[in-house]
Amino acid sequence: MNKIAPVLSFFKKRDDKPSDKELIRENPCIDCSLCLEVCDKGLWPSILLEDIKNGRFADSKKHGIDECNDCGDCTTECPMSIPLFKYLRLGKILSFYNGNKSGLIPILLELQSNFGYLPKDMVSHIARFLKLPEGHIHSVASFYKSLRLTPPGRRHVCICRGTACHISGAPQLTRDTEKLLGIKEGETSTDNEYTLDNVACVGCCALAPVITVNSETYGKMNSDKVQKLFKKTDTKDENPG
Amino acid sequence: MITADFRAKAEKEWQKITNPSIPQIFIGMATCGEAAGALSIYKSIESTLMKNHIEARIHKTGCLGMCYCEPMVDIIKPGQPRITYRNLEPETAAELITDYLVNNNYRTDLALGAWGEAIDGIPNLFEIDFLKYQERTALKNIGVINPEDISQYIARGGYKGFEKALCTQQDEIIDEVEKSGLRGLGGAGFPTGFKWKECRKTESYPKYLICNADEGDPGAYMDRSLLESDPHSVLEGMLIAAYAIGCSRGFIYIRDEYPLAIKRVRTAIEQMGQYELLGENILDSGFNFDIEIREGAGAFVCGEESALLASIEGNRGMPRHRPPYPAESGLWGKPTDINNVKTLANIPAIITNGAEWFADRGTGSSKGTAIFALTGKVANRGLIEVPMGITLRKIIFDIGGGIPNGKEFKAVQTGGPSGGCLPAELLELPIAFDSLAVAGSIMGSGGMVVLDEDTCMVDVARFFLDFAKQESCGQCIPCRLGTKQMFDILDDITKGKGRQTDIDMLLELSESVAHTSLCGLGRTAPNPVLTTLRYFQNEYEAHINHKRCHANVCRLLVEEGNIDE
Ligand SMILES: Cc1cc2nc3c(=O)[nH]c(=O)nc-3n(C[C@H](O)[C@H](O)[C@H](O)COP(=O)(O)O)c2cc1C
Ligand code: SF4
Ligand code: SF4
Ligand code: FES
Repeated sequence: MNKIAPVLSFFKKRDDKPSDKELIRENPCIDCSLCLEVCDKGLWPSILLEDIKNGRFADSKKHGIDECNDCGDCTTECPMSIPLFKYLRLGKILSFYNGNKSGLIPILLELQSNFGYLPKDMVSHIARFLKLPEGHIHSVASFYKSLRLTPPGRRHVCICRGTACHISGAPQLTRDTEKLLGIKEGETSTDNEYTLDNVACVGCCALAPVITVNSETYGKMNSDKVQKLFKKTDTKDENPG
Repeated sequence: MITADFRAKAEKEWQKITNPSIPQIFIGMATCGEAAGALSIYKSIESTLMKNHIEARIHKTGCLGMCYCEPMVDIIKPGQPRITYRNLEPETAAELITDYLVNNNYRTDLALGAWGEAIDGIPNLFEIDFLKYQERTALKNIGVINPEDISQYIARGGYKGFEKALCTQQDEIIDEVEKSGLRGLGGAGFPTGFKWKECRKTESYPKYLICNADEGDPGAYMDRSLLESDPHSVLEGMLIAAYAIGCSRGFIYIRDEYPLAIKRVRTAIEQMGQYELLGENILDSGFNFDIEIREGAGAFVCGEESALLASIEGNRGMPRHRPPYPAESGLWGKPTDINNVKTLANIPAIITNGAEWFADRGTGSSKGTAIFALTGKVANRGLIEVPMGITLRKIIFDIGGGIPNGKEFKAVQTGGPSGGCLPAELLELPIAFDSLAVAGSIMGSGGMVVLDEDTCMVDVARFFLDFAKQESCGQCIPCRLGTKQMFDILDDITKGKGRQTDIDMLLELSESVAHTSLCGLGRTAPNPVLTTLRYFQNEYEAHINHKRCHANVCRLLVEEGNIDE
């Protein structure tokens, strides 16, 4: 289907992804333009990558970065295994705030909603793009409770520790859940299935005590409902209450 | 101007909904409704309508504030008043649709009330206890309109206040707000008009306006409900404030635990753009203003105004010394006005109806209404708006329906981590900024958690100190270490390791933490301890001297027979 592919079979597809250093300094791109061919949106991912790497956010916008729908085809196709779409995502976020320092917290939040946490390599890139010391970003990320530097489990369980929930039995709920999942608050299970955390209040205090799993909220919880909630692990369960 | 044409069209549309030719179904879809199962109700209603070939229109509304009745559905059948149904399940919702819409059976057993008049065994909704004593101004639209449709807001008189403001001198608007006696509802109760005046006076440009929606008080959700159910009232308030002060850019700082509120505000801002209510030359008046959403990232201290500024600038949310106040030097060193969500939501009504109308309600130096999230051990939990000066008893026993399960009332906690616990003796206390302060608590932003006999007051104090300890930004030593020490002492007491000297020690620490901390968090952190000591010292003594917890909450005391771990 594409004409250049046979020519390219000459380059062996890399098994390893290029390191970040390689990407920035040497750029393993061989200008094959396969990514251009494969992109449904008619974007040229390798050009966008250049824009982003050099901090030209206005250009990346001009080149249509906002149209990218994260399909990831360019990354699969790339013979040099450049993780294009990961960088395009980052670029999209950064170009929205135009590389503005004051956008740091929204940028980190957005990054986290994409990756589930703040990957270390992404944090270094942000530092470089925003011209901030990496330490500053770490100091900000460690200050805010919502930002996390380690990946959470597949199901992120938060038990509300607000006043209404506390007096309606949240401490007992925490003990039950800890026992059930076999992890303490703040920990992630070894199979990466669960992370147990607490949250200050999700604003459903009238339904106290409350648990959230990923972004679903479950109200009026008790030991039985917790049992039920965590039993049906695989299905996207409906509200037990 | 929003053309008369457009307003007329919006009103006609609204007429079609309130006086419809086909049934209109309203489903409460705020976070609390969704958590209670509104989504499955929605699906069930949709499929029942399809199955029975009923033509009807479904609206997603916010929350009426009656969280104890969620999930709720309202139905307007042609020629009938709007009827609210409560505590539905997917099955009962399906039954309701066939019974009411097909078979003309009101299903009185499921109904909560009918709007405006009692019919056929269904009481008038506004006459039931929960709503009877309320006076809704800032909350007048919640649960009534679809928050994602600006024309419904406009049809109910929306943006009239802003239009009126545009034809008024800026100074006059501020005078009007000052005359109304409106005080900040974010916690401190600072006179709003005065703050605006200061900010307007400062000769430095550009000026910024910030709406503080970082509702950090754990156990309260007034701001969330308001933003999810009627975002335009807050945004209109922002427009008026920005116009009066001369701000060119606005931010609304919403905590990221409220994704639905963020989404609804985003939609509302987009719609304002479409109706030329944001951007350049708004409604041809020459006034330019834009609003940007900023998400908080889970730090309670960021509700404090100077920490909030630091957070918007992209730094750690650490409070700084004031003065200079933000009105002189705020965001990026420019004059900045910061107001709470509820404060701003009151503005349109004040401008439309005038200062006197607003100042008519309330008492002494607390004018207008107070908004509370009534939660905890109370039968009717929900969001209430009551005139200032109403007594605690009326709120808890008349509106709230008293304590469930035949338990005894013990205390009510107001003001969250900065407030205190008030005992039964103070039930006759009228609610106002000053009266609450005298009693040792604060009005706060509106959290009201009712505690019953099963709650241990030492445990409550320990809980709040735990919160303060975790949320302290760590900048000043009295707050960082003082709250930790106080927590340790309280923790020991709840574990049966209390010492005779502990109470004096707590008082002493409270004094130093309160007087030597930099920001409000540290300064008010001892309040929960001080009020519980003031009103419930006997419980502390029982824990320390007799190793007993009357409420059976402190586990080690109960389970391990007073023996140390
Ligand atoms: C620790 C702390 C937390 C606060 N949290 C909030 C909050 O969540 N929401 C809020 O509106 N104000 C909060 N405030 C009060 C703000 O500093 C500020 O007084 C308020 O936003 C001003 O708005 P107002 O004049 O409308 O009340 C907090 C203050 C302190 C000291
Ligand atoms: S990830 Fe984006 S750039 Fe890459 S192919 Fe898909 S749409 Fe195109
Ligand atoms: S009082 Fe506490 S929260 Fe406030 S600045 Fe000091 S350490 Fe930070
Ligand atoms: S206290 Fe738990 S949701 Fe508010």
